[in-house]
Amino acid sequence: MAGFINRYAVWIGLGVWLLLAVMTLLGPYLIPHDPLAVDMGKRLQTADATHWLGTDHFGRDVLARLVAGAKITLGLTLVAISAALLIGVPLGLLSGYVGGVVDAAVMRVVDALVAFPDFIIAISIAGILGPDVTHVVIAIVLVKWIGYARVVRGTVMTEKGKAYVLAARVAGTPGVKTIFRHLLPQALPEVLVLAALDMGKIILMISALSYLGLGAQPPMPEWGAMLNDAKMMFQTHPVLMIYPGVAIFLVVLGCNLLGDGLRDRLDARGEW
Amino acid sequence: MTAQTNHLLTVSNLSMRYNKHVQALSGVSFQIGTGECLGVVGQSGSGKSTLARLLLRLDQPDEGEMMLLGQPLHKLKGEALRQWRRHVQIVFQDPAAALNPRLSIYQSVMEPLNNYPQVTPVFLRDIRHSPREMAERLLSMVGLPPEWLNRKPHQLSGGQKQRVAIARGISLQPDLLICDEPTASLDVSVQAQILNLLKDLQEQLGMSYLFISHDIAAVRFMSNRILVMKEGQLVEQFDADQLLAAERHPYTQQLVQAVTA
Ligand SMILES: Nc1ncnc2c1ncn2[C@@H]1O[C@H](COP(=O)(O)OP(=O)(O)OP(=O)(O)O)[C@@H](O)[C@H]1O
Ligand SMILES: [Mg+2]
Repeated sequence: MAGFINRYAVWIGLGVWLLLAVMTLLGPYLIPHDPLAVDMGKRLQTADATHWLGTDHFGRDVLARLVAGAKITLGLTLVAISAALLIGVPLGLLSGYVGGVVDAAVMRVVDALVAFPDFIIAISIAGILGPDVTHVVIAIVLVKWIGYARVVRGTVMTEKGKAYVLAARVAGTPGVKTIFRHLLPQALPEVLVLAALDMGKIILMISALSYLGLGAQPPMPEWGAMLNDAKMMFQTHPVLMIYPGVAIFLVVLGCNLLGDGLRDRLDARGEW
Repeated sequence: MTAQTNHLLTVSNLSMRYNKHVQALSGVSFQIGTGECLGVVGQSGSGKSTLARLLLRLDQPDEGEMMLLGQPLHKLKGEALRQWRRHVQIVFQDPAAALNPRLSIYQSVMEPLNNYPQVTPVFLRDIRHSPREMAERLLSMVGLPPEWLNRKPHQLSGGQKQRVAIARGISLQPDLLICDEPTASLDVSVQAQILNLLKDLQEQLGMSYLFISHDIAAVRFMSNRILVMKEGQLVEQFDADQLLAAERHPYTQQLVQAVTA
């Protein structure tokens, strides 16, 4: 089993993302329920032919909410990861290539931020900005760009002294072009691995902060917020916590498999 | 060398320290004539590659001057320096490291010419408008089949990769081509071929060479004059045919004996 998972980790991970994408795109057509429609007459129903996973304490269809939650999770995670990449990668390139004062300045900020665990910083920022899902995304971006800056900086610093980069300089290639043609492609594989792993962590962070009431607010069907919603009823209706919990678990697992799988391939082949 | 005006490069009193205390080069002075090959020999760590890096302006000298075609090479900065780089090119020791493994041979060979659209080497004059044809001609000049342009470096042997690196090195028709141990990482069987190729190209294109090597026989084969270095200093310089003369410095004699013994 472990061997199977290792061998197909990348595909399983991609499969989870594909499933999430399909759910997001087709879900609304397959499930004829509004995830926000309250119907107090249908509270806390068990699964049946109309409500495949039953309803919650406001009579809302649970499956419709899970599917809508997938869209929110996917969207927020992609926004957060893109922003972190857009900040971290250029700063890493600049810092590693230029060195000197620029590098020292970037690294000072990085050192200050890595002194604390990601989650603590994210909670503090989200707490200061106030409970809102946008604030959670901002907090996550502020924490997550660092990883990309460090990875890219490290690669650039080791590569820039190598003969092919010196050869480019001798050949008259301007610095910016050298960065994009020779150095960035070298750093990209590691960046992709980190991004895949980070997606899992970001999903977890968004859910956790929402569960704590700092992120997505009711009635938004974000998975962490759904967990929070359902926690008063855990004794009587545990499935209402189990569904979003399992959804989070599977997606995070998928991201980690994807990241680990990519890393193994990278290690095995060196380049791809 | 006949007249002073014939000098392509004049280096005077060149010194360089790494990290403030490693004195890699101290007070080195020499000249290279137009079309001349100057060989450089010396033990490992004697400062040969450092000299190459300074002439390529990959490092800055702490002291001294480098005059190339009457221009102070050591003073150039920014875009002026970038423009001047086309006059001095290099063939590195290890072609596997000098070629970006991700780029095709075509991309690597064309990188210099793409950077200087206004430069037209005589041997490419009739086809300057066509990058593909230029790349093909460059490959054939170094004895490789033009079809190999689409290959990646890992599909080539060490000697073939070095030919690609040489094609790059000559592509701008530089005045000075520095060869830093160009055969040291190659199989013995191909070393002679690469040396012959370099020599033929030099005669064909009228370039000057700074030829660095541990291989005294190779330096003697390639060079008009030889410069001997030790611990960052110039021991002596002399015409290549005077290598075995009785008045050679004991250190030079020692280097010669190390190979003949
Ligand atoms: N980047 C560097 N940082 C610090 N010291 C260096 C660096 N590069 C070279 N040196 C030192 O400078 C001196 C000259 O080195 P250089 O590479 O020029 O020698 P070389 O004659 O080319 O040797 P080899 O024949 O082994 O290539 C050596 O003592 C070396 O240790
Ligand atoms: Mg050397």
